Amino acid sequence: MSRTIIACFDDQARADSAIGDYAAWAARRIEAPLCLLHVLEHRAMTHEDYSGQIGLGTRERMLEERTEEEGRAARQAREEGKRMLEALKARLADDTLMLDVQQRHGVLAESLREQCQSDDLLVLGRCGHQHDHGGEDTSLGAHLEDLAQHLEVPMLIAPTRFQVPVRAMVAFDGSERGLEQLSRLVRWGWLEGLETHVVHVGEPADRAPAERGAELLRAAGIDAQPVTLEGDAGRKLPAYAHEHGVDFVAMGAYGHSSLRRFLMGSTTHKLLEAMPGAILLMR
Amino acid sequence: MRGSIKQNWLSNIRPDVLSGLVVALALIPEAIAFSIIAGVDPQVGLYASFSMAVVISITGGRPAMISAATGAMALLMVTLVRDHGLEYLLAATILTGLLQILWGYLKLANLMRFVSRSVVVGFVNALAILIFMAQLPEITGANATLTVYAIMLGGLGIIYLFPYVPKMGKVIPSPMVCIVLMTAVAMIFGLDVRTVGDMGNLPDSLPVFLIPDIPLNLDTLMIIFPYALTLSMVGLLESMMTATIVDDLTDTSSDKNRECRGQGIANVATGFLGGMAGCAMIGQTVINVKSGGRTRLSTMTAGVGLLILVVFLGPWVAQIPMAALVAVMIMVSIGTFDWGSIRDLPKKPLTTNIVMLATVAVTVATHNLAMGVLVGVLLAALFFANKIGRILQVDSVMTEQEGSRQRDYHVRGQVFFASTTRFADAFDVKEGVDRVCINVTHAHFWDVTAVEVLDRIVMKFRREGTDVEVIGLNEASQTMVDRFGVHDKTDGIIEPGGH
Repeated sequence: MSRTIIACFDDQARADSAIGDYAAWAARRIEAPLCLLHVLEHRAMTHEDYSGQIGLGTRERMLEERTEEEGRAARQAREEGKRMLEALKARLADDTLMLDVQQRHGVLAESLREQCQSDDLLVLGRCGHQHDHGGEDTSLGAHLEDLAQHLEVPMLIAPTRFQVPVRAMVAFDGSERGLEQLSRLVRWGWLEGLETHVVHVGEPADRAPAERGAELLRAAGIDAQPVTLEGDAGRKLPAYAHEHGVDFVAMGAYGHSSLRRFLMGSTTHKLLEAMPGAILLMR
Repeated sequence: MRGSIKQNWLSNIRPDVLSGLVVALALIPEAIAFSIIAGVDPQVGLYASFSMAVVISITGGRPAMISAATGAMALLMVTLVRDHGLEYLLAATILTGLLQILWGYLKLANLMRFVSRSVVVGFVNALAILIFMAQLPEITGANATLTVYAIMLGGLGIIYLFPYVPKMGKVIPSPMVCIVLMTAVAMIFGLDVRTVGDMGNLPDSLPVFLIPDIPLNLDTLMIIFPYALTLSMVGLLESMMTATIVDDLTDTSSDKNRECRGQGIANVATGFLGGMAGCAMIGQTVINVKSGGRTRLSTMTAGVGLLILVVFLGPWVAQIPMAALVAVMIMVSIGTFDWGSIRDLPKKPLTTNIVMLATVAVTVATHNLAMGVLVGVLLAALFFANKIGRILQVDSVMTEQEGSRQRDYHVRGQVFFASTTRFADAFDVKEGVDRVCINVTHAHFWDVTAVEVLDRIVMKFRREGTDVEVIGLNEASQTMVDRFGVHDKTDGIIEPGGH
């Protein structure tokens, strides 16, 4: 099986990051090897020199200075990252996990675009520098949006604190593709042992799709119950999830063109922002 | 999209705004000076710099690069302005923009790979020399007074020494200090020197949208098209090169074809706002990056800052002595010149030096950067062909079996128009052997000339009664031989050989 789970950490990540725990949880659940990826992003060095004077060889000298300084900073960041990854590995490793660590320079999205296979799974935090938010899980990192829009890979978006998921919600649109996604969830073992709510939001409310979805899950031996809601999916789904203590959400993602998304906002974006717990974004 | 806006505009706010302001301050004298080079009012260059910087900050492909009215472009429009006036220049500016948008869609930026490093260096050096030469009228002839020299030398002293002043030196742009101090000195002592106000109108309001007042007919097009074509090429060339410099300095990448289209859009907008054609500026961009500018915000700040300063400080700007501007422009030309290229002349290969110096010489002689680059690229191509042509080796061994003598030729390297003579000379057709085998496994036949020469050699051997066999043609070479060769086709034999 070529499927790999890639957990993404940025420069600010720490060994106790919940991303690692969710990645390990997912790796055990779908029985796939886990790769801890630390991307060393390029940070622009700023010079406090506003003299505006350019003299002999300014360009060459600047290039040399930059190269040296950035090189030094990058070496330091790489060492720190290495220590972080080793600590993370030591914390997560056990006999059931195939664990690998990797470091790459560059921008996260580009690194992933280069190495991701379409059936890999990415595990990432809601935003960079996760731990700074003291449990507040409302903002989305720029990375996350960028990745969710441009990479055709399923993603598991980890909240700040790890909690073994117990209650799952599947946002189900009733379409054929939705059914396909449901069977994929079953096949990979995502929902095993979880109390699952198959939620369909329609206008007007139509009970049939949710029933159909729940039926499919039940046939696979999953404790599923159909739920039908009426109104705006962007608001109803998170409200339901909060109300029922859902800690794992599975949903499809980003169907529109980027222009339309920019002009109209996107349901996926709203959902990502408002949902509690871990979110599995399917393609 | 929100992520990219944040990344491109808001990821480095404080350094971007500060460096943008530095650039705005340094742009004022340059925009005025370049207007004067082109022979138009200072306001034309100032509006152009505002509009170019603001538009390119949105449409460009290289964040942190500064585009404005430039010396490279100003030098090309002198005769157009002199012969036909400002309105034709505005029309040419719009046409330049339209052409650049077209080049952008045709992905002309990809052609930059044919412009070698030595041509780029030659271009930059020629640009520096031309900017310097454009200052000479201000400091020679009737203008060569002691006061003018004093202001100019004083200005240069301030520019180069002020950065060493503790604390303040690195915070306030020294070209600005030079201009403010020299203007103050000139005003206080009532010095009798030419000022910016003597050169023409300064803007006292924001630019407005206007359509150039020219007859829309073929004659007009015939007048402006050649200028627009050259302007579009030189503008792109300088922009692409500057983008490469920023790419290097910041270790980030840029979208060159988007930059082409962006330059085009910026020039179209500039023409309609009453500005002269512009492009990216090497000197200003280096100043921007040196001062910490990294995103589009710095370019935007430079443009907006420039306009605000000029519109509100107009009466003061008019008092700036030309000699102080000359000092700033001399700094720009010194900063633009690639001094390393002179230092490294003895270390570099002769051909590289010839290409660089030829680019400089032709540009300075014709005052046309496009011409210089063309000559440079052609020379570089010739030298390259010559060099590759020498990578050709033909070895041979003689074998004798039962009284029959066979010579095996082994060809290694590139066979094309520049190497065919060498190739042909390597075969001894007069040698009395029974069989010849030409092994070309490690050779490549690039063009029709190469195939023809192979044909000719085979024919010659056959006329001497020698059996010839050509083996090991690679697929591409075989295709060439199949299409253009005759020696392997029985019906194509021009002269029947001896077998």
